[in-house]
Amino acid sequence: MPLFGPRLDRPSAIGDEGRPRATSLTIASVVVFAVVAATGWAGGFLRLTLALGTLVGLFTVGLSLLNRERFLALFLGQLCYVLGGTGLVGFALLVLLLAPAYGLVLTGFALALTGLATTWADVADAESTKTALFQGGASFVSMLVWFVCLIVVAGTVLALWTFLTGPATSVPPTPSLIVFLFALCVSGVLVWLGTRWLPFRQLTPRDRRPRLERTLGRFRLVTAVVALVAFAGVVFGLVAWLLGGFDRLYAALPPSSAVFGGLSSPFVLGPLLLVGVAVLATALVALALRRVTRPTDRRANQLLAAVVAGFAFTVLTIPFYFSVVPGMPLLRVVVAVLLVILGPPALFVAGLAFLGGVTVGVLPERAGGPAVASAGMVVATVGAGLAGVPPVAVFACITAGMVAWDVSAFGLGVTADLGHIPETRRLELFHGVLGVGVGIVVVAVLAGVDLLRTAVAGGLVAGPAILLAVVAVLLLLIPVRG
Amino acid sequence: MSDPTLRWRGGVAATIVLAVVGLATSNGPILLSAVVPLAYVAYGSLATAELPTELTASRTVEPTPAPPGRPVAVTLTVTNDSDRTLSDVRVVDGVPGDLAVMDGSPRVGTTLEPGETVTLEYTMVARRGDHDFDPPRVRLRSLGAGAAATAALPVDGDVELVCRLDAEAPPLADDASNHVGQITTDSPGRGLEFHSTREYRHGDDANRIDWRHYAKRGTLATVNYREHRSASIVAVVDAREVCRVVPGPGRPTAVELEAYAATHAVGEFLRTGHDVAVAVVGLDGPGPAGLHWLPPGGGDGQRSRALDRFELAADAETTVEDPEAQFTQLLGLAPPGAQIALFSPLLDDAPVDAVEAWLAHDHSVVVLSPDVITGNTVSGQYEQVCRGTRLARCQAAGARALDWRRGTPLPVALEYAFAADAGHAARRRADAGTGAGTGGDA
Repeated sequence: MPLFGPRLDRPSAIGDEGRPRATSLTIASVVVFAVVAATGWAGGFLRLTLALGTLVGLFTVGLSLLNRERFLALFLGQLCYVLGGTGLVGFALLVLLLAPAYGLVLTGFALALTGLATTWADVADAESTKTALFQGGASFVSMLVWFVCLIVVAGTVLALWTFLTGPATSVPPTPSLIVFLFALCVSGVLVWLGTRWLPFRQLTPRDRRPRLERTLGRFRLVTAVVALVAFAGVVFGLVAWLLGGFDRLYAALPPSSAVFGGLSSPFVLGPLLLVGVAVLATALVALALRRVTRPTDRRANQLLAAVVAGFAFTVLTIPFYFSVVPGMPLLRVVVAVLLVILGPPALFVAGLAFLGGVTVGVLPERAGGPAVASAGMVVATVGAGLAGVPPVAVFACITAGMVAWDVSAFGLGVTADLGHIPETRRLELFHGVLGVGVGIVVVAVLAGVDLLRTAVAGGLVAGPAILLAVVAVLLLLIPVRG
Repeated sequence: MSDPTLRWRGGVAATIVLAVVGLATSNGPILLSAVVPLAYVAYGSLATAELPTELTASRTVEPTPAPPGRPVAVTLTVTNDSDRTLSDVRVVDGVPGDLAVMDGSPRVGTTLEPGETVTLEYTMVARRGDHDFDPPRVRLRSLGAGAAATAALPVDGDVELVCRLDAEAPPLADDASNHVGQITTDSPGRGLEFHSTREYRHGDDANRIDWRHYAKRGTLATVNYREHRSASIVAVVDAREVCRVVPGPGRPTAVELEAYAATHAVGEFLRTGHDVAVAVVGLDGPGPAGLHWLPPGGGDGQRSRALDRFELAADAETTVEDPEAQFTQLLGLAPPGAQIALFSPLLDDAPVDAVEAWLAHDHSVVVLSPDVITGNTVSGQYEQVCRGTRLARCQAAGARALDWRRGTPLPVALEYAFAADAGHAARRRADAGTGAGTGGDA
């Protein structure tokens, strides 16, 4: 059941067993969110706390969409997952480095909110995480490849532009020939690639296809030979240029100098490169259209979305992070670059940690989200205690964590026992109210004890008394757990 | 019996972590916060779950006995007659394994105050046979859900669902003069509709004497009415392997539906005085060509014997190698001029070919075809189109073919198929007598 808007989870006919029932999850969400907001307000970092919500929302939407099949959903999922997840990890690491205690609090809150949000979306499980990790890794590799490609292309274009529009309008014949051969080689490769992906075969009537394939094969062979010969010409020309072979040619055949000099004219190179680029661009568009309109091929759509998203990340992420990171321009640039380079690997490591927890049994497979939320509130409790947040807020944090686990596990148990069809709101509300009531009583008692402790002992903590208390607590667990 | 659950291991871990961190950092609030998970562990673990003996259950199944395909409403009520509130009661009714729940849920979870009752209502579709319900399972959890007790609850009321082919069928002795299959002929004799008058013969009933004629002319005359004759009807049930399909899990097979329809139709035929024969196609029987064949006859005994054949058809699992030969063999077994009532889902062409052959040998044919194909898949829609084509072929050949759709009550389908066929059959006879061709109803 979504709180509002379109639902992110994918309920099946037999019900989504991986998610607690809506009433239980609502109670857990309300309690955790209230405590997170109250602690942020009490600790003076409410805005930072609320900022987490945006990143958690983006990350959860991305994680959910990455488990779909269609290209558009996968592409949007890539954008949300990488931007939100990287921002979340980067935010937590940054605050941990700058102020460890507050970093712990915010990291715990981020974990808690992420656990609950992904539980609502029914993606807090190993299978969904594996899918997201694969696609996140693919888009990161794609981003690096696009980055290198764009640098190479930009460098080549810049060099050609400088070469062609430089102050010396008359280009020497030998460099002109080598540039022409290089352009011919590039154009040949582009055409060879383009004809591989252009839908000639699909657009030809069935009876003419064998003849077309023979013709196309010959054409592609010719383009490959041209590209190879041009490449060999470039290598041979460079060697001959170094050995002075061209000087003897120009002396023996003077018109060749003028012919070679004219080969680098924009009127020659322009159409030559334009043909190659146009063929390849058309082929890529055709290929993308074929992939996009093939909804059942999930793996192909995932890879295509990763490749396209990698290009978008290459172009957009640094400006995006630069725009949202506060601080001096230089610091913003550094942080943005670090986020782009280190964020996705850190996110990958976080996902692997979740999978590892599920594999070794620390995190329950079907209750991964509530377990993460509860663990996050424990971390936040430690951070809040170290940060000097009012003790009531510290107690409230751990109570929220326990309530989240209690009602979520209860809701999962109800679903496991009864399925999704029966109406069990009364049962869940009874248990939820009871759990929250226990928490309120415990917090009130602890607040009184803490008040007494600070009033009597002046806030001092005696080592032997603490040791005794810890031992007592641990001993108490034995009879309680049997 | 109270079994502890293991859902607070994380709470134990949190207690230890917070206690250790609080000790390591000498932080009072962190150390105190270790009490919170401990309190929840205690809250979840200290209470026990014991099932009170005063928890009672009662079940009603309506209707039982029910015919195949009929929705059956099941109501289970569980009452807490003890004097304590049960905070977490989960009840799962023991639905028979062969049946599927179509609507509602046989499960419920709630809290029960003293004297309070919870009711489960769900609907199943009946399949032939006696289906025993298991006792409902009850699971009671303690206040913190840390312990659970599970037990089977004794139940009052209905404990089985009985599904019979002849359920809801009226008894044979009931008189109904205007029912299906009755043929009004042009022959003079006993009846209701005036036909002619003739000279009185010794022995004629006094109530047939035309007294007006006697008053006018002084001679006795006897009134003739259009005579109602009984016909021979052969009920053919298509029980081949291809027909043993269901439209969904827990639903009756097409053969069960055929047998149900044939049971009711045969009962109606017998009540109106027709001779009825029965043939089951698709099984390896003792009759000619391996048919299960019941020769024409009437009366209560014939109905009982027919019901045996139909139950055999619904329950059998073995098939015969060449069922098409059995269709052909019927031509030699059916009395001359007999009507043939075929019950088949028409999932292949064999019954259509048989209908065309029967019609070619001057038998009036009615086809009642239960619809067991779902249209929510492409292949299902394709099969629907094929079946519709077969129905149209039957009609084009001169048979009266009726598509018995799911949800249509059987009496309506029978009324439409056979009541209207009485006149149709009479016309066919008249046409046959004058040498005219026949045509089917659209």
